[in-house]
Amino acid sequence: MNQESDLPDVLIDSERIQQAVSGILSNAIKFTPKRVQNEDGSPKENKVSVTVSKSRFGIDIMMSDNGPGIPKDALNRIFKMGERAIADEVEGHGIGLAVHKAIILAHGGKISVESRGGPAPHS
Amino acid sequence: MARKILFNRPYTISYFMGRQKQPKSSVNLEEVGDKTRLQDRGNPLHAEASLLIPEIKASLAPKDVSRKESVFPQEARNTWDNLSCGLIILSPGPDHQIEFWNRAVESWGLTRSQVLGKKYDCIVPKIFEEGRIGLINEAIKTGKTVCLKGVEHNSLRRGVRYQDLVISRFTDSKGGHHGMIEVDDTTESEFRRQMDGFAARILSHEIKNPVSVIGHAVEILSGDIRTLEKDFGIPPERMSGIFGCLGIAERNAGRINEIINSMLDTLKNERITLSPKRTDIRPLIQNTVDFIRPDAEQKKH
Repeated sequence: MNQESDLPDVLIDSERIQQAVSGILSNAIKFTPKRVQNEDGSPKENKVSVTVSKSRFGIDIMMSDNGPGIPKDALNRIFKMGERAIADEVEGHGIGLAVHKAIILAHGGKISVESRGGPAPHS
Repeated sequence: MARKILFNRPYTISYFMGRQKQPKSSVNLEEVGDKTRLQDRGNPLHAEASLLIPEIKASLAPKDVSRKESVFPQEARNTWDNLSCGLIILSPGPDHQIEFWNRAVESWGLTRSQVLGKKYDCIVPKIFEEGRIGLINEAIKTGKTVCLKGVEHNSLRRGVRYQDLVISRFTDSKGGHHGMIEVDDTTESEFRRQMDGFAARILSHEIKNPVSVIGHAVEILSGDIRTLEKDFGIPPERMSGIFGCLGIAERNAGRINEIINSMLDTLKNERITLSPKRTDIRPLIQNTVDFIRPDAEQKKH
């Protein structure tokens, strides 16, 4: 975990933000397999990281994992109610991320996801 | 439900309800941060629409909002014909309605192919990266026609549903600039309502109830287990460990319950209610990470 030392205080609903951050982190953990591999097939340690930094309008919280990533065709719908990126492999109902997005938007924030084929950061 | 929304100067908002003449509540305007958000059954498209043209935002006020039911397309045609400048958002609905609008657009100097055809075969991947608002703004700014197609909803295995969005900019014969967005939110809004009901049922019956039962069971167990201390002479330090574990279970059952309640509340109200306070984010994130860490550690093994 990395946090800038001079982060400004922010006007937030702590419980809601905690709910969103813990939910997204849990998601990252849930979807990261026990064993992940490098591109050459060698094993590497699975890892979920959190970075908090100052941004122009407040703060950025970036969460990333080194799991298999999210299919490109699923990136646009994972924040929608009832939608799931990998429907059959991990249990879930496609609710959590939709609620987390609603929380972030209610704060006037923005939530997005990237997947670069290898690591799958969420911010 | 097909919905046609029309923005035109001097910034009146009219609703064309298509063939369904059901009564509709008035539009609510609310300030969210630095944005004016139009809330109409929580349809996000409205919120996006309010952001499209800054001057609309500046001029929007409850008194400017009018509601109108109409048999489409005749009355819409009248409004269209009288339109001097503005932004139009409409839900195309059946093909003949799309045809109508395409003909209308054509008569305003926009070629038919710029709207018709692209609706079904042009996908702009960027829309997913920058979000709709960004793309819509870009479309208005650059005048290019873009199309979003194929937002697939199949998680309920109820068949594939789509939301189509066509954006174009054109100039009328009087030199007025227009932006047009065609949105078929019929399936989207209907699906959203279905999903909200589905999610609420899952949350209430499949998660909230079992979690409540677990919480109560732990509470009862905590009471019963106190007798063990007396009856079996279990040492206090051992009892302390047992109560510690039970406390963790009870607290977390309560926490899940709270989260579920807030989610149900969100689904019910279609928006999040916040109690914001000025907060130092660092300990909050640290606590959250610490809370989650055991799950991550467990996953490693």
